[in-house]
Amino acid sequence: MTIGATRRDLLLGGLAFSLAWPLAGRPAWADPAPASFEAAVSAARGQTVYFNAWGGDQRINDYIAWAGAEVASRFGVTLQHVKLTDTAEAVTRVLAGKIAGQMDGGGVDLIWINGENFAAMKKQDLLFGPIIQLLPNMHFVDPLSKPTILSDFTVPTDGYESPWGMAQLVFFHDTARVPQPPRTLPDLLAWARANPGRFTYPAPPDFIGTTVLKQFLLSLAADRGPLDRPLDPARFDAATAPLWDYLAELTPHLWRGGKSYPASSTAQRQLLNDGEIDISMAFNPGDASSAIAQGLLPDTIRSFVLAGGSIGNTHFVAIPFNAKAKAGALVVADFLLSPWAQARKQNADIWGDPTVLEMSLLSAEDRQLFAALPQGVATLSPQELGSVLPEPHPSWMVAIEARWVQLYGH
Amino acid sequence: MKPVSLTRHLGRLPPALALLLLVGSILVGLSFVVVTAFGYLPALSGERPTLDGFERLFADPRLAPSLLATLTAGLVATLASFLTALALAAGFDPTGENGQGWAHRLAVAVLALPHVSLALGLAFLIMPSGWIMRLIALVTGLYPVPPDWPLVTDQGGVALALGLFLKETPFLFIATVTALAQLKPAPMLLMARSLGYRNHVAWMKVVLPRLYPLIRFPVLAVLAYSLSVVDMTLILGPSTPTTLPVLVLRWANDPDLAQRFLAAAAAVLQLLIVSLAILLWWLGERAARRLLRPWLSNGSRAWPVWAACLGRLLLRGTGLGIVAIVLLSLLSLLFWSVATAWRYPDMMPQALSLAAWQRTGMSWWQPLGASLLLAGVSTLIGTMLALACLEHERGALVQRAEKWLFLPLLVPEVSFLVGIQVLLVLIGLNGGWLAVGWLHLLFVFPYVFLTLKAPWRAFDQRYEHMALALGHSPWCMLWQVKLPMLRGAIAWAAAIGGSVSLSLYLPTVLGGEGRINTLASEAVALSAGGDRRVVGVYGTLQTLVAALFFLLALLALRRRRWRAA
Repeated sequence: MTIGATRRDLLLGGLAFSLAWPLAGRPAWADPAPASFEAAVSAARGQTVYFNAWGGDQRINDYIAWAGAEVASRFGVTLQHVKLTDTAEAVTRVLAGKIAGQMDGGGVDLIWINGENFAAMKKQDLLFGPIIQLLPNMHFVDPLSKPTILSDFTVPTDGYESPWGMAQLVFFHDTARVPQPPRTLPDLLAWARANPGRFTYPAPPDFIGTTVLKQFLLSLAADRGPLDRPLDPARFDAATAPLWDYLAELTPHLWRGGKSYPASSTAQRQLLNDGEIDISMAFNPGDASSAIAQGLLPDTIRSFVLAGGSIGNTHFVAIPFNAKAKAGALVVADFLLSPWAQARKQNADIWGDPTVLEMSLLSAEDRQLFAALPQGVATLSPQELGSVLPEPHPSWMVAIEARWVQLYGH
Repeated sequence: MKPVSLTRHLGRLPPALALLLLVGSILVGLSFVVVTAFGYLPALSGERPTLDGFERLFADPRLAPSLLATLTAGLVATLASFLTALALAAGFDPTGENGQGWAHRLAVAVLALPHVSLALGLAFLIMPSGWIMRLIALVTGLYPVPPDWPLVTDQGGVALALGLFLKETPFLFIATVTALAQLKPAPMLLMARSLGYRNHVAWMKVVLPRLYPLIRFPVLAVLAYSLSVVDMTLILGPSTPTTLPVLVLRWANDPDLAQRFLAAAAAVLQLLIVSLAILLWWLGERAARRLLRPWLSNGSRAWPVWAACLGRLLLRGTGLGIVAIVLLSLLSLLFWSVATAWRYPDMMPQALSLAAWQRTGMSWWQPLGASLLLAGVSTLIGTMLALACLEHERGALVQRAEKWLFLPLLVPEVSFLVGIQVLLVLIGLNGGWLAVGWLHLLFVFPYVFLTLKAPWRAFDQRYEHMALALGHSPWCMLWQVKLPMLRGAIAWAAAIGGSVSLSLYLPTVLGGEGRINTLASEAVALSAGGDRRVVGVYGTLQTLVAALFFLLALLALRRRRWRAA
């Protein structure tokens, strides 16, 4: 591609590339084998899609229940939400099926996934696809403006997962108690010293907890180069030393003296609501507004980000290689990408999860759906959110979690 | 073939079936776990036996603190509930003749409560921003923000032990009173009193030594349960690190399949820990016997005044305390389910609304249906199987097999369920109703059998003889005489079976692979965070269903009495 190419050209090039995929490696359809989305739609009627998705947040569960009612009336697909406490459970189920020789008719049809779980499934050939070239609504996605759509924690998605939402780490503070939140890591340390027991983070391997560690690491690291490549064990100590030094200073001032941690980010949000701590965090910039709207947080809560950029990624849905209802899963994946479903998802009163769609590619009508959304009271504007720091390679995450458990997890 | 030999022949079938079902499943599950623990799982390219799993387990920094928390919570809860239940029984129903007394009824009510609901309510009651602290803040004016105290999910497992204590004390109280009724100690007590022993001294010296062997099994079941509990631990127990059974569950669900070996090794360790604890309990029993023997037989009638006062105080206090904490826990769930917002330090919610019930209405009817279906089917099959076993219990097989029927209550559930999960995948039954129903039956059957055993054996055989002598067939006798007369007992056993099924978490999660959700599994999943109002809805709903089961049983009992009158 030439340097003078417009964004649209690049996008079309990308689409042409993705359309060429089926020639290189045709998706391994089991029964029934729709060759196009239209074929999938007719095969999907009457199928039950078991959607394995983290179920720890009632707002998300309600949204998935809504999507289930929609695909039932539009496509005759029954969507069954299998609520997970950890996405790894679904990966295990698919793996267990493969071990037992279950090559089709598997019990997991669609997984909400990204990061290390995607890397593990892709590496072990547990995914069906590539799928994105089959989804009509992918036309509204522009991977160039949101590069994490093609590169999931530095691992190329290769069309094996369909983007669902965007995430960026934001912190919340209660303005009634903390009018000026700490915006740098040294400030955070000083604040924690002055307010012992009022800050904490979810215990890794909870993904928000691990993300906080990665955020600290990225904010402190002098050179992020090694973090973008698969982990070189010889360089682990040197590359992560600033993180462990920082934690050593911070930990004694955490909630319960750092001897115990909340089990998840929602548990931590509950602690903030209960007034047991003053600062919490989420991977969804609209989370605080949406939580306030639903009475899950007091209306004095506001969001902030650390100076110097905050870690961000994309979350996806993917179809296991042995899914029983592949056609139905494709239909659901495409529905989740539709402007109608994406706009509802971004609504702070519903869920508040940012869309993966590119506004300039939408019709005027669809754009209006998004423009009409209420701006949440505690949601930062794109300018305030600042720059996005891409995730390190997933191998780092595993090593960091293991070290954290060794140092603080007992 | 003569009809008698036919029934005798057929009579072996139900107990054999029950044995196969229970012992077979558990042994198969355990053997899968043991084999995997030693590194043999060809599907995972583990072909040679190794000790890798154990080496990694013992190198894990979480192991030691997690074992400590498991053991302290389990042993403390068991010992405390055992002693309390004995004291309560001695205080409220020393002869076991007052089976319909209010203490007995309260105990049944607490017993009927699903573990998860109680744990959820208790967590809110005792946490630093919970109801009790809010009251303290209101009265003292201190603590404008909740103090940073580890009151729930504490590392020592104290909150978990408290939750277990609340649930196990009523169970052991009922077991003790039932055993007392069997023992019929009134004449012994009368005799002892006429010899000048005061009530309590008489009870301890004359009744207790004979009573203990009868309640040993329930106590050991409580011990095994307390050491292996998963659902209550996820709500009340330590999280960093958590207890051993929860670690087993986590490793068994890890995407890294190599963790399966670690999970299996930990499951074997869990089995050893429970065996060790039972051994420890047995040694404690012997030590207590040796220590108490001189006092039991020294002829002293003395009962120090301080002991009497303290005893009375403790008795009233503990009984009242348990009931109060349980009631407040349930009340807090109910309030949360209808709260708009309810923040520290408010004693009551800002406003009441049914929004949470309506908002989640689309989600809760499904787990409610699943809970009712599983409870109904597993209780129906379990009750029929138990009746069949009891009707043929003069067969030698039942006599010998009876002990084995209680295996599911002694073997830590996580140890064999993790193995059964592998088996289910191999035979393609994973994630289906059949698998979950089967696993529920494993736990429902022993409780139903245990509950039915006493009334069945107490049944006056002369009725049977009379019916047979009047020329009725054995079936006719059973249908027209025996079952109607024992209907109350059957209804009661079914209510207990139903409430056991209702509260099962681990079998539902491991058998259903998350595709079959009951109220219990949903409540635990939601308790991980999110919205306490929704948790309140599920907890309240689960409590209501359990109450419904017992209400139905009570109605059956009433009707019988009304007919008799």
